[in-house]
Amino acid sequence: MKDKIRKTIAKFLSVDEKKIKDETGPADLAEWDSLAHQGLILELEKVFKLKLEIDDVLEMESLEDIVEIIENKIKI
Amino acid sequence: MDNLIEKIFNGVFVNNLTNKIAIKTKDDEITYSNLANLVASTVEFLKRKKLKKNDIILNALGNTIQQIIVHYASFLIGIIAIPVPSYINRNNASFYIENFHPVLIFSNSEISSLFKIPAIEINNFNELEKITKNIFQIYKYNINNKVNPNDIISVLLTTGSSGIQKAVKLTHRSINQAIDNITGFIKYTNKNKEIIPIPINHSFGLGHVYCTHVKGGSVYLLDGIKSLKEFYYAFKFDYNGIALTPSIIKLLTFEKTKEKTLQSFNKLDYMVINSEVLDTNITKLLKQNCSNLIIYYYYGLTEASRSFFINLSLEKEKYYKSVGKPTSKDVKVKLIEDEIYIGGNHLFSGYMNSENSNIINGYFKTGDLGYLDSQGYLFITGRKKNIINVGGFKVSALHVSETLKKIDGIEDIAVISIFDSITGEKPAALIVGKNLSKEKIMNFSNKNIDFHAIPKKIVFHEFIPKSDTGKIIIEEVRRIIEED
Repeated sequence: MKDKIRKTIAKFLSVDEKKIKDETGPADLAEWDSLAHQGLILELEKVFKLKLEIDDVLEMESLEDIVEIIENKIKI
Repeated sequence: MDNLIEKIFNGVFVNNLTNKIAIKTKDDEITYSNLANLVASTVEFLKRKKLKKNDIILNALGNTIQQIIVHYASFLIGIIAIPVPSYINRNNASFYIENFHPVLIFSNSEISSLFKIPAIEINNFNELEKITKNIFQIYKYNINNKVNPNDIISVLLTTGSSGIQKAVKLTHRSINQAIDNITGFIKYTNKNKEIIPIPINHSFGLGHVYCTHVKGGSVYLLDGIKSLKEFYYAFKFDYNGIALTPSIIKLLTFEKTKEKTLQSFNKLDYMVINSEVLDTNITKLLKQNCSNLIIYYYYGLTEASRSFFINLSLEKEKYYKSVGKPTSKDVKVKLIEDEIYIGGNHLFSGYMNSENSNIINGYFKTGDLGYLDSQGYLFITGRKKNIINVGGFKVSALHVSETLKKIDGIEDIAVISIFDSITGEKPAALIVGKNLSKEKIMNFSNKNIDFHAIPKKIVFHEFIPKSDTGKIIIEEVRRIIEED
């Protein structure tokens, strides 16, 4: 799951996957600014066929956070 | 004339506000009495470091309590503390050293390797307390006597059309007058409590700290909107105002965060916006959903701070694109061949690193084009300067081009502004060269160019379209970039 999410983020931001470490989040990369983050949330919803609520969005501050939130959503 | 910082603390003591919170952040808060004590300790600390009036230091502590403490302490002694972004790269460091010859730098990151001058690294608020603890003393009134209104007391950086950051010299007179203008227009009191997510190394953010403190109000400092969680957390407290740019508002009113943003803004009494006119649809959205919110917009460069103000909440739609009227009677305006010239006591007193101040007979030639309507409302129609306005951050296309040319393999380059639905404008680069990749360009950019100035679109091409005289044909460059 983590690799799939990493790939999705890297593809969406057009960056090398190696740049997306567990702790990487918005504003750590020039390509992952606040605007890209908003778009990325919609992309994650599309790829993983789920709906992210505002509380989920606020918690998504790194790859690790995103993985945890998406895994929990999918379990439900 | 009074020193601004003395004015702040004298007002606090006279009005018995010493136990009131002066500055709050996510992790810390400080009362006015503790702020006064730490400022006094820092004054002593700087004096022991043999710093004196007119010495220059760099203050790269970001939107933190310690940034304000160092700034206020410097202000009291007459040391010129230039606030610079907290992210310093090798390029910036060379520029600062060559142009300002600083004798000391305060930073919250590892920057010693970039400078050959003493650097004090303070990663958090407690560290500042530690370094000044042994000289801790109770703040005394009248550290300085009256000041000369024309003495330079602050220097703020802004990007000029030449491609180089300009160091705008501000005097006691210009700062005091600008604060009088703003606090008079907005009617600041000690009830004002402002959330400030914009950088306080710029005139917009720092001005809000001054205006709030001079009336005994409180500020809540945020490091932009990098963390949405931290941004919305600030609204849990009873803060009643906010300073924001239109691009941030636009981002926050996107689909996912729109409802939460409107709920948060509805808790406020006022919002101050600068850098570009707010989109009419967003103005309408805010007016419809935040009934108690007063929306102020102002126009004024660092050189002529807050010259025009408009209260959008009181205006009809036809004035949503206006920047309003002069902030006070002290602000004068005239238009010469559609270019805006501004006069008044709030004007800067020249640039530290340029002899040409663009002040002609007491009026600053802004480089902005506009017109006044029959009711005296000013409308901005464009810019003479080749500057890309990335959501309020001024980026020089020329400077970005010159920096990128240092990359091996780049033979020619044109950096232009392209449309961005959020920030209004963003930099894009058309590049000619060999053995290049987007990744190589981005890696270099991340290390050498400020975040907002990094081209968000890169296109490789066989040539840069130029006229017979060698001038880049911007529209042709734009067509190629947009078609890619």
